[in-house]
Amino acid sequence: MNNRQVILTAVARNQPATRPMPTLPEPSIERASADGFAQRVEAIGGTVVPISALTDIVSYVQTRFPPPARLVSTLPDLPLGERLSDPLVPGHTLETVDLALLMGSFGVLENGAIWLDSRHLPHRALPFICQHLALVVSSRALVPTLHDAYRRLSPDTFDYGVFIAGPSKTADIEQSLVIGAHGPRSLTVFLLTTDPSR
Amino acid sequence: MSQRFVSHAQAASQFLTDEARTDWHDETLWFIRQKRDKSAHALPEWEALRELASGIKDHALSELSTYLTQFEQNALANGIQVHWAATAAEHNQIVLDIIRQQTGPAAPRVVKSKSMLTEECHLNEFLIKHGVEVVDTDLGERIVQLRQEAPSHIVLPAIHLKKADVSATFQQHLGTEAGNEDPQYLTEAARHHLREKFVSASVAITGVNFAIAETGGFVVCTNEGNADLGVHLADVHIACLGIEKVIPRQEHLGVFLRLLARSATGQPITTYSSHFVRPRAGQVMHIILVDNGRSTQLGRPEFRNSLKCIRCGACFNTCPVYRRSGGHSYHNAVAGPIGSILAPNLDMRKNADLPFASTLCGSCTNVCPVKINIHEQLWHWRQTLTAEGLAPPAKTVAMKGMAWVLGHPTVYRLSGRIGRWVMQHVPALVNNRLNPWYKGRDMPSPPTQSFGEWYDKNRSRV
Repeated sequence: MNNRQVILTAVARNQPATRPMPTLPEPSIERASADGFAQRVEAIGGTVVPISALTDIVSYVQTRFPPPARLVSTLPDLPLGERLSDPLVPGHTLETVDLALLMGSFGVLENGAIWLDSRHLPHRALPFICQHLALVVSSRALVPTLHDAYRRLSPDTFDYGVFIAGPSKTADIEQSLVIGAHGPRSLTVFLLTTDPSR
Repeated sequence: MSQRFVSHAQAASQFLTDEARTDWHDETLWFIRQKRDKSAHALPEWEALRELASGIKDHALSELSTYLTQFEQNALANGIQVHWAATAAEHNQIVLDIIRQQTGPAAPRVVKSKSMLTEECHLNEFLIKHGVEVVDTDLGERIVQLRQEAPSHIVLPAIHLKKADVSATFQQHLGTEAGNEDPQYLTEAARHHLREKFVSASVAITGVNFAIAETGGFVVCTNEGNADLGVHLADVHIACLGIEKVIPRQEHLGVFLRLLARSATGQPITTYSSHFVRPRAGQVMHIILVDNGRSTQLGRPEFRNSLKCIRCGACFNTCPVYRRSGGHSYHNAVAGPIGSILAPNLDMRKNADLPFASTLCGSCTNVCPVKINIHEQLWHWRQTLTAEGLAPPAKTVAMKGMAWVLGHPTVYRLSGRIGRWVMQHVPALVNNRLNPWYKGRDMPSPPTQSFGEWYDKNRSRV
């Protein structure tokens, strides 16, 4: 027998009688509040910038990342940064990106995480190798919990996906929190809200 | 790796000689336990979540052969190459073969993110012996790798070290300023050092937190982003996972990811929870499914539950013995209470001391997010090891002596009387370092008479 058969035979022999599969909780009834989400993102080290239109991003970014900063953006209609169209570009060439500006699919209220996946990512390395990361998420695309989040992610719809919750961080040196471990040194979340009262 | 075997108790007494440092270690880990509590108590449904996680793992283990097959089929359909390793040695050989096949005669450069499985298999030593440069990219793991040490905690690999230690190590290996102990400065130095490794690596190795049978994909969690940086820049991704990591459905991740980071550090979720399903264009992806004793453990009803572990480390942080003895005293890749019930399955003789490195207080069981009955398994291992004749010799001799005394009423009465007399009149005879009980405890104050004597005297009055 090959390894595979040896292992599967041993597992089949030793596994106990079938135990039932538990049922997951029902979807949340309450809506996820934009304010609650913003507080959560700030609590995990992110910065939230409320915007009422995507064009608001331009001046914010231009002020903070003036030339010769290298910007890469996936927002189609903004006059900002380079587009990456060729996914085969070696990830190493992105090492000099100062700011990557990407569209997030949705946010999760309970932990401040934002989902991004291969359908909206020009290169998987981009949100990790850039010095600073900015994500755009709509306040209408927020879910209360991770259970709700996975309900939105039907299996087999993405090749790669990631929840990003705050900037990269470490506390490996005597438990002192340091922001900017290997990945982005900061995370800015542009929270798009069309509610005029905000 | 030391040649001479040092038992947990011996290593713990060595650890305890530096009292200030022991206190610091103890308090630091307790602080993390408190952060876990705060985070857990903020979720009213916490206990229901633990129950759910435990139930999903029970179910997954009961149909593991089916889920492994389903996972394999889906992974293959996704364009991932799947390998099976029955032992640690086979796992290491598969990794080496993939690296050789990829890089040919050129000196391969490999980056690796945290994986307790590869620690269990001693992959680094094996690769280095075969001329492969392998760089651990988690900051804590890189620190201990530069010091040629093993991680002392599964989530916080360098928790046994102080800033000054890291500063000295970085000065020696990375050329940082002598005496600069600022964590920000030291982390920045490591960032530059490791970026260079990331961009030049051709192969990236990662562990796996959860593998999903339904999709053939898997999830890797980090705070630093090191797993993703390695994988997305290298041509080849090798993911190593123990066969017990397979869960049935993607939606089950909602349960486990809510529990994992809250239990580990008190964070609501790790910074990055990366879902790998298909390789990117031009990339080759391998998965190695490793047994290494897990199928045997699955067949032991009293120890099977240990396979539910999601490696959060909560049982370490709460354990009064771990906090005061440090991870290295456990001489096993996974230390702490969970390591003490996993290790005897790997090597009963070598790890016979570990189930005794516990007070059986049960705190580990109380914090476990998947409800493993850790303290009960520690107790079961003690029974099993004693039956196998592997219990620590001093305990065996003491127990045999005790059994003989208890089996002979005259000897029992006489020795009781002698004991009480000695403790009353010459306490120094037992309150000394030759008495193992006295180490760390005071002897109790002796009663003037035994219950038997008291009963004889008072029976007539009734």
